Amino acid sequence: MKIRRIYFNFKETKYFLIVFTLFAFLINLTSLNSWLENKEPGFHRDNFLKLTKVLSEIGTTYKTSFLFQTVQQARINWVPKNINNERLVFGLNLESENRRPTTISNTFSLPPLINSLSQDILEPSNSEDWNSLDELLKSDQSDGDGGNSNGMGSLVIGDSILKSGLKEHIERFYQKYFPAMRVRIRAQSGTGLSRPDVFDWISYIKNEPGKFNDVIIFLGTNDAQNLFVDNQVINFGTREWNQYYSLRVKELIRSSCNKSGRVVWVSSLRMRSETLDKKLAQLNKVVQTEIEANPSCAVFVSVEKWFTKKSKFTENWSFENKGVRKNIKIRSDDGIHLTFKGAEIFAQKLIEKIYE
Amino acid sequence: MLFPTLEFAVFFLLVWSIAWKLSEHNFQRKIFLLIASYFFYSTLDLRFLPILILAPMMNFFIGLWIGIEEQKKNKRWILIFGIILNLMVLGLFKYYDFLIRNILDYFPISLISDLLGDSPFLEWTLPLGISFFTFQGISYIVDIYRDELSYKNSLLDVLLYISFFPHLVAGPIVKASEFIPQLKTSPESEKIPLLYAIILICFGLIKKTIFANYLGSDVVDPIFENPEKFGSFDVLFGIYSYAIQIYCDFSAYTDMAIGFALLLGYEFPMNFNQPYRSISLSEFWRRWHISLGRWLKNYLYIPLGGNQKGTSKTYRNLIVTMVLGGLWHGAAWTFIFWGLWHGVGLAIERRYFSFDSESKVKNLMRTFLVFNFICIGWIFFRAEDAGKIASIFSRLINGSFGTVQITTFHFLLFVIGLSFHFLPPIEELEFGKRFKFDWALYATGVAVLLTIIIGLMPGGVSPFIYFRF
Repeated sequence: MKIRRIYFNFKETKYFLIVFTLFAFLINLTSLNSWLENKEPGFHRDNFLKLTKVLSEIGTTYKTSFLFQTVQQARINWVPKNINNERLVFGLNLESENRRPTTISNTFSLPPLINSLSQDILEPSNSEDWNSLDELLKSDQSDGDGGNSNGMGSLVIGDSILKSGLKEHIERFYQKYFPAMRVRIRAQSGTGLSRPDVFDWISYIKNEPGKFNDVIIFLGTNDAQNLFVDNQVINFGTREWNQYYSLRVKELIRSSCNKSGRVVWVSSLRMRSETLDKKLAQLNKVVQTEIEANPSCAVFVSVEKWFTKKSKFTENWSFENKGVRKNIKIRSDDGIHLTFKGAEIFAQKLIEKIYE
Repeated sequence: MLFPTLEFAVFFLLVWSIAWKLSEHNFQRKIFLLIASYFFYSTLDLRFLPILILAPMMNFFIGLWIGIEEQKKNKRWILIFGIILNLMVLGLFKYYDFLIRNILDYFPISLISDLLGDSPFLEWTLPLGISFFTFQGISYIVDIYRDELSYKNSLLDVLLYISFFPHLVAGPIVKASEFIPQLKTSPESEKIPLLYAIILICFGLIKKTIFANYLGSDVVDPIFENPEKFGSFDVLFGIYSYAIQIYCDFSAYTDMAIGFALLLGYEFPMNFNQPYRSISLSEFWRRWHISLGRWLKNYLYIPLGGNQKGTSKTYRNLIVTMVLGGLWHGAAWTFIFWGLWHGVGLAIERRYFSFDSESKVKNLMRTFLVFNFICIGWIFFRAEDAGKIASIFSRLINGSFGTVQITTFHFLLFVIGLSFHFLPPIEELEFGKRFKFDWALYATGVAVLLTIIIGLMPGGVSPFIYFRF
């Protein structure tokens, strides 16, 4: 089939692009500032940031960014988070007695995020256990330092490093080595301490019911970025950033120690990207300093030297299994996450380290 | 810099302005575009820029050698040598570690371990786009060998053909005989298909930033990461969503690449033609990643003998071609299985099915069956390893219903994404003929549309899926 096209000449195309650029610029003044704020700090970026800030204020004052802000607000209000912690459009509980669909009438109000993270609970094998687990959670109201030999086992929290593979293996190893101990795992991709507006782990821990023997924390990989405090950008790597981040670490540890006898903070892994690797090394140091300088129930477990070759990132690992040498890919193609097999080895080593 | 970013928009506007200013000086124009392409690549990964420069140079000299050589037999040997060199570069970066890992696992002979030493892996990062520009390099020397293209091309033309930034990192895989002739003369500045190009770019932006991003991060990733946490309906929806995600992601990139190339005056072939409306697997491969399918057919399937060497060899050739096509996507057994799935499917289809014109209902049923066959293949493609594949099939088959967690928003995205396959193609819309507006109004409309797209984008833009190939 012949493709029909309308042709413009160079002059018309040029004017089209000029008008388009000017108009797009005018109606996106606020988004320019947000875009630049998320960039790496540097001479050019910092100078342009002052300009874009002024433009953003103009955009807000004269409402030129009205369309962008309206659409963005509509997205925040109406677009669901994800299939896990989102309101149900229709909930079909086919295993209930009457098997009628349960409709959520108000489909556009999001439940509080904390309450909706229910899918990661290690499900008991039958409903009776489920009831007793709930009962136990509600009944444990003891105060004090959280250290409790009759605690609820372990609470493990983390980001996508925990979510992709590590979670399943940790559950399995707990079932295998500590069958009497319960483990609760909460993993949320893309989260950390830098962006409480995305997910607030400190509030989450405070609101988590019950007490635990251990709280194990896998956070940090997403935190090598600028902080936003009182609408100010605090650049990563500065002393100010270290102070603010240390405060957040301190707060999380304090809340966790109130819930448990021991907090284990696991450092970030080595990364393929040298830039990210260096940033995370800095971040790990901040966390380690904070934990070691301030006595608490927390310990810092550094995994930076784990699964490295000549002190560098490696994605392949060889080990012996029943006398046979095996080579596996332990890191995924992105150079950040663990593969499923890599997570298995890592989880085993970590459990051994924590409970040695 | 990725396509749907402000940095790229600024970069492209600058390149566009200067390129057309140089329209009367073709040589300078090409040099400028080449430098711009190298700049574009170096913003993604500067370390591999030397490979991007040296690999096309190597192909240029091999092409010259083939052209100068008079004996057909010697031409063939030079061609084989050139193909091996190209594949060696690709193999070292992409397949070496995979090969060594499997050798050590399946042949745990101490001699091999001793030979390879303690650190047998290269662990080299994969240069962006290497699969694409390697295939284009092979296309160049093979087209010369087949006399489809003259060997008398300038080094500049060959460098630009392979490094041209719109198609550099994720295709389409343009044939040398299609693109190099376009470089011989400067494009006409009076014939820029502006509306068509802008529509392609906008449509690509919408597909990538909204459909692919939301379906990917909100539905596909959680379900493929932890399938056991979801019921059968959700897992099925996750698989279907991945089909839409990968289509939207990949076709978005190539739509935008075609649009940007058109704005610069060059024509790329169409790369997707509503693939999920196919009534047969062979039709699917004429509609999905058309440039790769064409490359595999012209440079692998036909040299193997195609369908000219008897029935059993035809099936063999189909399976080998598809397995190698799967392997091209990545060094993992999952990609090989995906290729094998399609190869076996094509062979069975060729043996047992004919696709004469049938009723609409029968065609609809066939479309549905073919779509599901393809979606099963996507499970192999997307899942990380055999364990995950087993987990997904287990959740699909064991019939655990539980609570369905599909949301209206994601369901709508899926339905709209699927509907792209059943609406008229963009080129049939004759947009400019239906809406006869002034160019200023079009410019304003596109700016408004772009603002709406930016507002709807989730935070951050994930890289295009095919970047990793």
